[in-house]
Amino acid sequence: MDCLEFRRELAAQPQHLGVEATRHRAECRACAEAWQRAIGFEQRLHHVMAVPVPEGLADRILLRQTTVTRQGTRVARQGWTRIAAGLVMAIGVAGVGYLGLRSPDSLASASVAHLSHEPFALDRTEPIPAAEVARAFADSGVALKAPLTQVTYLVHCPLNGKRSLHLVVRAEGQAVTAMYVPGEHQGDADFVDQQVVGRHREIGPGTLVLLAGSDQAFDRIEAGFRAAIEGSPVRAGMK
Amino acid sequence: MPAKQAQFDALVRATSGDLYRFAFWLCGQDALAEDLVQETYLRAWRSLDDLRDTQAAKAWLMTILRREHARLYERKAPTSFEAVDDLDLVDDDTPGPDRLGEDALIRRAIAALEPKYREPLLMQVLGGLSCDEIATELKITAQAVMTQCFRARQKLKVALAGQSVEGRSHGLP
Repeated sequence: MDCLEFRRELAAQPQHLGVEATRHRAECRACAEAWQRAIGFEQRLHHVMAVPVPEGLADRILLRQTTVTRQGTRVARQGWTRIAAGLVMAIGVAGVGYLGLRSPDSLASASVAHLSHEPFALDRTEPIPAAEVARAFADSGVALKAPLTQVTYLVHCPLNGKRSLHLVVRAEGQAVTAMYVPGEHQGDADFVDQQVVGRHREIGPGTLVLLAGSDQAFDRIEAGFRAAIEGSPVRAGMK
Repeated sequence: MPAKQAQFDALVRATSGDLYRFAFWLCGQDALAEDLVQETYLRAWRSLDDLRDTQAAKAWLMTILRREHARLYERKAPTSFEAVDDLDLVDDDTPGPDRLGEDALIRRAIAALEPKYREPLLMQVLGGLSCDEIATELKITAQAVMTQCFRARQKLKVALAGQSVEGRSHGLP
């Protein structure tokens, strides 16, 4: 191996030099020095790539995994009980129970759990232009029919395996988290989870989830989303 | 604790940090990165029996995460929401040019790399994978991986030097 070949391999994989390259490094002082510089650069690369890992990440991963596992076990156990009560009835009950009860719980829980992922979302107060909000919805396949205003946070996030829109909307002096999940149809429900008050409503081609410390602004915000997504007469403004 | 759960616990604690960083540099958003990591481990749990070689765990997880990332955006090209253009979390109050340190320069250069250069570089630096291993995961030749990693480093060095090294010494570092 000559110096040029060594340097090419060095630049491609400095941490995994082959036998030939290792031998050349031992014989060529200039290339040994180049290797030292390359290793220094690698350490620097590793340093700059080492962005802070969210505190408690591993615990949250394990909590979610064990929760999902337990839910699966519970659903299976309920299924067997129903089968014992009668096969036909069990199929019907299990089907309705699964679709009608479990799914809303999972969307609500997933939404509440998602709040902790973006703790700074509520700190932002500068309204995002309505055109930008409309673009984000259009990007998710939803054409807004009226402007959605007083949105201070907006990002695409995965929720329940679906690409959703995570917004913070300010209304009546309150910051309310809104998750809009296109393609999700889980009916309407109100819930309280971990001291978070929430509701989800089917609006247009998806489901809107609202989360806050209280539901005082929910009606106004829901009306705003209905106006924006479905085009109902109420103006989609939240003041 | 059942053996499978103990194995998964150990896997999460040993790899979640680097996997989060890999996700962050893929998507450029801290919250999205965490969601991707969460989804990746859920899928990993369901197919944990497929993991035969613990030495290959990180590569296996990176592959799941890449698929998860692709699934999320398979119908859409990344928009400004997903593009790696907001590194506020890394860059401390968005420093101006005078305050921008060399580390920040490198971070921006990494973020600006095309995915075909960034992904193998991340797998190599964060995952500790060899070019052969990366080639297997990316389903391209090892030679192509070497070329991409070579060019990725050259681009970062150019950014760091603040000047073009095109044509200088045939790319010798």
